[in-house]
Amino acid sequence: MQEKTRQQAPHARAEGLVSHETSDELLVYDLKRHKAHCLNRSAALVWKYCDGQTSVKELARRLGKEMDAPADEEVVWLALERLGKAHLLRERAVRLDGPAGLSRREVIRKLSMAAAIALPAVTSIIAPTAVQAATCLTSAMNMDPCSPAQCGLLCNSCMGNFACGQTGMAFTCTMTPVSC
Amino acid sequence: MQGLSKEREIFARGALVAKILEGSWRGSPPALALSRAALSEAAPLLLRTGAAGLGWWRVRLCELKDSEEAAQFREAYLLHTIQAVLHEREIDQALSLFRSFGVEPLLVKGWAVARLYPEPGLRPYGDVDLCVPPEQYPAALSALESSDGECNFVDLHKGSANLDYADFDDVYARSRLVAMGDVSVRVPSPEDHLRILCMHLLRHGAWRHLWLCDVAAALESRGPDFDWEVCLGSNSRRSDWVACAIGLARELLGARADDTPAADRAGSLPGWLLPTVLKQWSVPYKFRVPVASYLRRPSGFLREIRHHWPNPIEATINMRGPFNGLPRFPFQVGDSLSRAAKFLRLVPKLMRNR
Repeated sequence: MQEKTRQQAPHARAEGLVSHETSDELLVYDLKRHKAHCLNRSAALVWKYCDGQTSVKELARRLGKEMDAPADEEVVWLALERLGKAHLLRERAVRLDGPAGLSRREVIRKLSMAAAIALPAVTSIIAPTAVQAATCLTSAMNMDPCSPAQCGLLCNSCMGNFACGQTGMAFTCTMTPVSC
Repeated sequence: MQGLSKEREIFARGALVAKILEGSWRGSPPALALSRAALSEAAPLLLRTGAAGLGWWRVRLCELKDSEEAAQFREAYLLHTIQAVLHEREIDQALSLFRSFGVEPLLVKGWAVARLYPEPGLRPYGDVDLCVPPEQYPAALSALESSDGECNFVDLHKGSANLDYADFDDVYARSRLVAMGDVSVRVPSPEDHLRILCMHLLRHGAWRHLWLCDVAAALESRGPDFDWEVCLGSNSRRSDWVACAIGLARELLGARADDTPAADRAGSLPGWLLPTVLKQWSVPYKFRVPVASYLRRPSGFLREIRHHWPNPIEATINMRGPFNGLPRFPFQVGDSLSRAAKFLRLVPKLMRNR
């Protein structure tokens, strides 16, 4: 029973995440996995209320109140599933009493027709890597300018034979020859 | 672009990029009328150079806002937005570190210019350029060493010699503290920063669209007390470089420069300048692999060396030449020879490090 209660009161992950609220979405960056996610309003609300104490039923009630429309528990479960997949919960929420005889796809189809609120969406942001600034630590050696992105490319593909310092998303070309 | 000669096609593509970026640094950019085909053609170039956020800023207001290209722009914009939050943490971290060593750095470009845009996701940046007074440089190096690689994102400059032609002591004396959340960040005065941005654009051959938008954003965000004499300096050739960069921002992106001393210059730019930028903007940037890497693996050197041929803008700046109507070929040759000579002087050191 205790296990069931724990699983029914999901807990949002807080450590290793950086979030930023825009007008209608919540952006979350996972410092551990170096992945960015975009949560729509309903997913963001569910995530915000996942404090490890609030039940799914209560989450649905709060969601409905915030969205000013009735929210089904199924909507919350869908949000939890998507948040869990994105590693935004301390542990994946496990449903013990799922809707019998319905596949996940069928549940989503049913919800999208019946739900009064936008279905929760958690999307990973995958944007093409832009070429970053054109300066690197090359000036000391009076060589051609390179870019942090270039350093990353060079070092990752072992073409440039230079050591590459990297912290998070930033690359710094050390211009120290290395053997591959 | 069918039916156009290859040369005209190249310029048309560059002009297309310029059209999309026109006024994009403003809170309320002008309306954009563009065909889907044109957007498709320009999209990869904008995505590649980090200008996709600005692309989104304009496209979101036009009928192409639901297109696949707009979705890509928006995705990049969202990524840049969250990256900006991360970068602010990094800047906070770096400033705390330097200040604990008694170093007060000056932040140039990057966040210092991104803050002039209406949204943080519009102007992405990678590294954090910090200039420190020469006498504080050893302490700054010690600070970086003590960070055990935690501040690898910092691009440390001794003074601003690599970025600017003005005296660093003067630039530093005119600098000011601005708020980044709860943190105070020292940035150059608007006059100095506009000049630094212009020089940065020109020194790198204006290949990145964002840099010209930076010039436009800095130009239009200046206050009524902006001192043009401080910005342009007393050296006529160098002040002409800055005026030409401002002229480029006006001619290509519609920056409001009519009430500036650079207005006259904007209307009489040398004939080679605009085509150079348009050509540069019409093709994806080709990485320049450092020539030193071919000491180890010479194959491909001849293929690579073609990409090291400087464009007329960077060659003129590197050779400290005037922006006049004369051919640029001598500057390009001179710059290539100069860089080759510098490289050859380094070869013994590089060979020892192999």
